[in-house]
Amino acid sequence: MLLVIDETKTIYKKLFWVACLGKELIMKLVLKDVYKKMQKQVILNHVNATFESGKIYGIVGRNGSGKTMLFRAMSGLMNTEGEIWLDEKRLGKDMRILPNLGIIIENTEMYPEFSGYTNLKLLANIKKKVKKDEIKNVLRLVGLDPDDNKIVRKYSLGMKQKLAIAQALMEKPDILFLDEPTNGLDDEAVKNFWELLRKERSKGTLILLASHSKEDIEQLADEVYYMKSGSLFKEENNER
Amino acid sequence: MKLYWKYYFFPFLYGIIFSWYASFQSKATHFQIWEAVALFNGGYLNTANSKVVCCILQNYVPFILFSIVFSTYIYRHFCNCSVYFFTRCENRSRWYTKEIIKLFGFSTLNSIFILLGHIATGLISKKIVFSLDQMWIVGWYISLYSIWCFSLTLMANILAILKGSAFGISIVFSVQAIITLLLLTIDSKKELSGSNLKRMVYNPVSYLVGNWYRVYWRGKKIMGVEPCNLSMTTGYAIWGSVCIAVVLFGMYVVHKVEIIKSNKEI
Repeated sequence: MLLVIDETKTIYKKLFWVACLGKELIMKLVLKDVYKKMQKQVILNHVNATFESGKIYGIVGRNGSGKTMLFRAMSGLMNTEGEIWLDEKRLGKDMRILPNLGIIIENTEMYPEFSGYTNLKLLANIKKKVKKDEIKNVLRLVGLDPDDNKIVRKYSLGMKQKLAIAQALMEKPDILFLDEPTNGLDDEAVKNFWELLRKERSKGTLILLASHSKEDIEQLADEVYYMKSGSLFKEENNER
Repeated sequence: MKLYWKYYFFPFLYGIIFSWYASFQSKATHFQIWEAVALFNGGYLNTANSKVVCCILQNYVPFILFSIVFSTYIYRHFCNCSVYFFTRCENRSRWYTKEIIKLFGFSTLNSIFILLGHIATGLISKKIVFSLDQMWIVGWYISLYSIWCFSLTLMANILAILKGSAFGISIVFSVQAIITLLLLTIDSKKELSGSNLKRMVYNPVSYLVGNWYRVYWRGKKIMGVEPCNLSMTTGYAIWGSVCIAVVLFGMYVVHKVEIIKSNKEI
């Protein structure tokens, strides 16, 4: 019930701004010639792209193609050459990290000695944007029991992934970077997750979804990009 | 934070065991608090020899344990969860400042718990003597040992961020042990003057030994054994400078580090 109210509020907020400004607010994330070399290896090779809010962008690439590094660079956790702009603000100059970002990075775990709920509470304490009830709701939404005291170390791969999804969604982000988000999830959970993403898109969230599975991406994405050896391109055969 | 509280049992227990053991070696009926902090069982030895160096190393035990337990206090955020943590943390300087203040608080508590352990034993076996001058010494002990312990622990955390936790701990304690063992170069059979005295004065570890100070309180000598003549101000200046240098180095590292590897411990 609370979730429905939340969603309705977001839609009304969006309508309000459309009415006031006469046009829909579109947030743009622009990458200009982003380049990164580490230990003599090119990780990101002059990446140029523009991403807009309210869309799901798929990034397909094999393991090691640079998808995760691209997410780290775009979030502000890694310095790169080139420029990354969010509307009028430049990453690394006007802001250290992307504001209101939800992120899932492959192989990144939570604090293993705490329960799922405690993990989310610790992370929520940094920004102090969400309350206990909201944390519990998001855990229920992804299919985890908020009252479960089991520590994360004892979680299955699927449970860990659900928890990662919950942390990404809990602060109602404007931007979502999702790196292999369905790893370890069963078919039912994957279906639910796709549904959640569609709802996020309808709220105007900018979603970047990376996967090595082209089929997964094509089901959901509005635009598909391909990544190989640090280069990002739109057409599969258009390799630089 | 609940995770860390249980470790305070150890310094308390250490204080109890240590005082209890020391009580066998002393026939005094009164327990003066400063005895617990001057050099613990280093007694009134006025120069460095292998026995004193052993005492100093022995005194390190509860502090080293503290440093090991808290060596991941800041570093843990750079392991698991680092991406999720730092994409939420917009101001790393403010976060780092808050964390080091908390760490300093924990370090101070560690010194206090050791002292409480000593006092607990003293209360049972002897009559405790409290006086203002003794509180002065207790204040010295708590503040200087807290600064020292905090600096070591923070350095272990910073080195762990750069190279992993095993590296952080081993480097910090190796350096500390080497500096302590350098005290053995002081010739205890010779008079404490000239180059012999310099070896004591220029070694920062010397300033952790209460008996090597000369402290007066309202004209009355309250700490120190002749001919040692270390200044309390110099002690604070040395360990304070180390502490500030470590804090600034930490600030630089925390700012500059790129969150690339998800977990160095894997």
